[in-house]
Amino acid sequence: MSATVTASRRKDRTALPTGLVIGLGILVIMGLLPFVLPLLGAPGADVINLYDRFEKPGSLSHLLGSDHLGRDLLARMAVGFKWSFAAAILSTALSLAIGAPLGLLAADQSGWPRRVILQIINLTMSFPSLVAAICLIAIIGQGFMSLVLVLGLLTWPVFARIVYAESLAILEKDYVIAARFMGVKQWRILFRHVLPALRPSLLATTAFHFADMLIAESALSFLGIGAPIDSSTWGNMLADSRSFLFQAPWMMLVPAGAIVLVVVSANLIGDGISTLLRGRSQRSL
Amino acid sequence: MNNTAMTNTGPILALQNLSVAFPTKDGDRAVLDNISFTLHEGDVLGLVGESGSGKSLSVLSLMKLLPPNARIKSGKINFLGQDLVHATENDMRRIRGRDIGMIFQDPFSSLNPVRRIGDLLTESVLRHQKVSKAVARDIAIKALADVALPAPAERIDNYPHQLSGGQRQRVVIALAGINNPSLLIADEPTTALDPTVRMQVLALIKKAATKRSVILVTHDFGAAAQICNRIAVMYYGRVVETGTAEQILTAPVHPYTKALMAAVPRFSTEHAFAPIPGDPPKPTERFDGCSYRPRCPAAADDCRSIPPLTDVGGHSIACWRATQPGLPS
Amino acid sequence: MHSTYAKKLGKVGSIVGKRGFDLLVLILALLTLLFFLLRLTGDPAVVLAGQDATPEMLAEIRAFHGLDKPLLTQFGIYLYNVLHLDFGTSLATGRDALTVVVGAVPATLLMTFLAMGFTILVSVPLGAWWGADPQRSSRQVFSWSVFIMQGVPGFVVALVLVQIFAVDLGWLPALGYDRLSNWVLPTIALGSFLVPKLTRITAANVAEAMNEDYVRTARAIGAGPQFILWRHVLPNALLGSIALVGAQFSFLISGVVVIESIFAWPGLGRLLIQSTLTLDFPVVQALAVVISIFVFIVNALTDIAIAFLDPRIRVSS
Repeated sequence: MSATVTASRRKDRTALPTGLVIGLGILVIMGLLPFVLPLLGAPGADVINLYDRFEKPGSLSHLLGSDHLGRDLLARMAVGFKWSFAAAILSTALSLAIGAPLGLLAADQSGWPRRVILQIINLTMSFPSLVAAICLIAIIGQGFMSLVLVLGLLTWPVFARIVYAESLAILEKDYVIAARFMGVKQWRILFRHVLPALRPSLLATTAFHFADMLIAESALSFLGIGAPIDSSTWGNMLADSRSFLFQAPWMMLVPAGAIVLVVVSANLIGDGISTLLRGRSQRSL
Repeated sequence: MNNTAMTNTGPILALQNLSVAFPTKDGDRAVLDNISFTLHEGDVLGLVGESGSGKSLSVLSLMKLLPPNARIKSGKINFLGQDLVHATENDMRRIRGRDIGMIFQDPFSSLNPVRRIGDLLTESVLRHQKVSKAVARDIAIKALADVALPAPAERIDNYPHQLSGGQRQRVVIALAGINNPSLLIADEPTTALDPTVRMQVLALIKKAATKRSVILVTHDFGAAAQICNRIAVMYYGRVVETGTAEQILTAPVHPYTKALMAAVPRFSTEHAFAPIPGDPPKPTERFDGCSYRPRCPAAADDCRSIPPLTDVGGHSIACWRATQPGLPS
Repeated sequence: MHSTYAKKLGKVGSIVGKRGFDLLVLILALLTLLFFLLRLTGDPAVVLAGQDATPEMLAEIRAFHGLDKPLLTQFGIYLYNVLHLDFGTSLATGRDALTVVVGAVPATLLMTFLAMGFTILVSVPLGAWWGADPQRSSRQVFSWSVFIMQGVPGFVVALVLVQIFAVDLGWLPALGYDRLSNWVLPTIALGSFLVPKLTRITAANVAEAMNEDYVRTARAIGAGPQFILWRHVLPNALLGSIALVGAQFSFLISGVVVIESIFAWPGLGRLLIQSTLTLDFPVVQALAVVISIFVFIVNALTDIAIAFLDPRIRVSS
């Protein structure tokens, strides 16, 4: 019995969770679309054709329909992915790059660095991040870089808090304390014991955070505060669609569906990483 | 229900060849294998064994409170003339708390932290007796007084965290006995307690045993010796020896019982403290024949078949050596 | 009895004290950040006067607003004014900034109140049902739906609701605030921000509590599964759920901004978008402070509620 348990667990470990494969698959397809579509002779994202306005989805010239200016929604969606993906991945990376070291520092240095960092985490978490983002963008101005900067600078506490809590738990483990007594250097403990143990939760959190950043980016663009108004982003497409909900509901459904698809994919990836590396899924409670 | 118990001349409880198993991918894994014991009116039966021997599972199976994936495979449980193996969940809910009361091991976790202790006691009374809330509360206060909880009329409105461990276990005992059940099951009631409190709790169970039959599940021969008149020793899902407390304690026959007795730490120096050689088998291990064979100093070839529980001079032993000459002592 | 009451009050006092200190630090940090960022990234006189103002006009504006003084002096005056609840006048309307912001509070209060009520009414029963037996196949399907729902952004929910109930079916108005029928879609839309998360946490708490020893005790006195779920398990699980609602309140306020804009709801969120797009900085600053206080009050109320509901905290303070 004990042998079969370990065997089946090992089997689960090596097999990639289905959710992870599906999630990655969808992201790859979405990522390839903007490069593949022109090769297939699809119209460009910004080609205005007033004869083709409000084309329904399923037509030969516009697979997912067209908008109020006759622009192809599939092409716009594909280009919007590039924009949203880049904004979300860069702000996630910035968030991770600031949050993880600060979390580690707070766990390692029990004096004032910990108190200051924890207080900052506490304060940022207690203020609505979207409100803060809007206030900051109001001051430093709209644009891709300011969006990435603001989102990254506002959300690093997410990573810092997880890294802090988990490294603190590891630093208090008996084998780490024993290593310290034996004279192992602190940086070596951090790199050999703490960082590797953090990998599963960091990877999973990165995926979930990417999903959150994508939602935040499209919400800001939708409100007219994120991307430049004339660019093809999902938020802008949704904002455009609001005036035409009656004539052309697909103008809303295409970008909305795209956002949901990518966010769910990212969540599937995060969940898959959790299942793969930690043996538990966040979906099944 | 108590009245039927009083007039019943047969045993209160009879387990016959009860087998319980966990279904797994490669077939059922037996955790109880042909368990039998009977309990007569006024009996205090000690179920003694190491952890993993199946003693807790046997009492949980007669409450039908087994883990959700465990199955009763075969056997009979006769309790006051009722067949519990085939009883429905609704039948069992009438029996639990009214005819069988149960005391659990850990008084810290077995009481709901966000409910007052009085809520639980009156809930049990109202569930099984047709009385008003006010009367139920009086019954609850009296039950707390019976287990010598100080100031029961005030304590009844306390939350569990306001009581000490010993006080909580008193509450659990009061809860188990509040509807005067004919059978009280105590599953390791003293294991989680301080040694000083342990004695008081055992005394309470002994007091409760004057009015009803009791099954005491324990790994501690000392506790069993204090209050039990009958003892059944369990090893790896089987009863290996059963008899009166005196027989088992003064003249144990089964090699495992002997080893277990020798392993009880004592103050006197005559008896050297002798741990049992080898480890208790993992629940996942399988054996042919007697499950104690790998650790038994007297094991021989015929131990490869399962020894039946046989009556030897008034008490029953499941060991080939006991029924044949040449048993080493 | 008397001493328990005193302890409760003491507990409330310590919660308010601790949270209040955090609030002061937060407001000070926000004001400092906004003030210096605004000075660093551009000339406020240009913002005030407009791009095509003459140098004379700019000088006049600088003198009038004290912008010609040293930066730290300006900051001191600014803090002094804020301390006296003077955030300046709205550039868009010319009215007192704080008055404009405070006027928008009731609408936001109403919306968050409705949405939190909706979230709890939906999530707690669903979570209890789910967590009572998560292995059942019907609940496995449910767990997938919750997982996907978590990936649907609130503003997408809002747009789809508008599409279905306002545009296609015409049952409910899409915009406005005055009538009861105006409240339905925004409530559900804002509720959708937290429903999946709260449902899952409640289910996880219930599933965990189901394995506790006290559940076995309740079964051993003959209690049935429904009674155990609602009377024994849920009171324990709910404490965690309430804590989550409190902790996620700032997330809900982020949702308010989006939902108010979509439904033209005259609250803090829509005001924030409007004043951001018109670069009405006095109003933005007043909003930041008022929203901090708003979040603070809700968080403190949650802490107090938990302190009163959890008997363990209530007595051992």
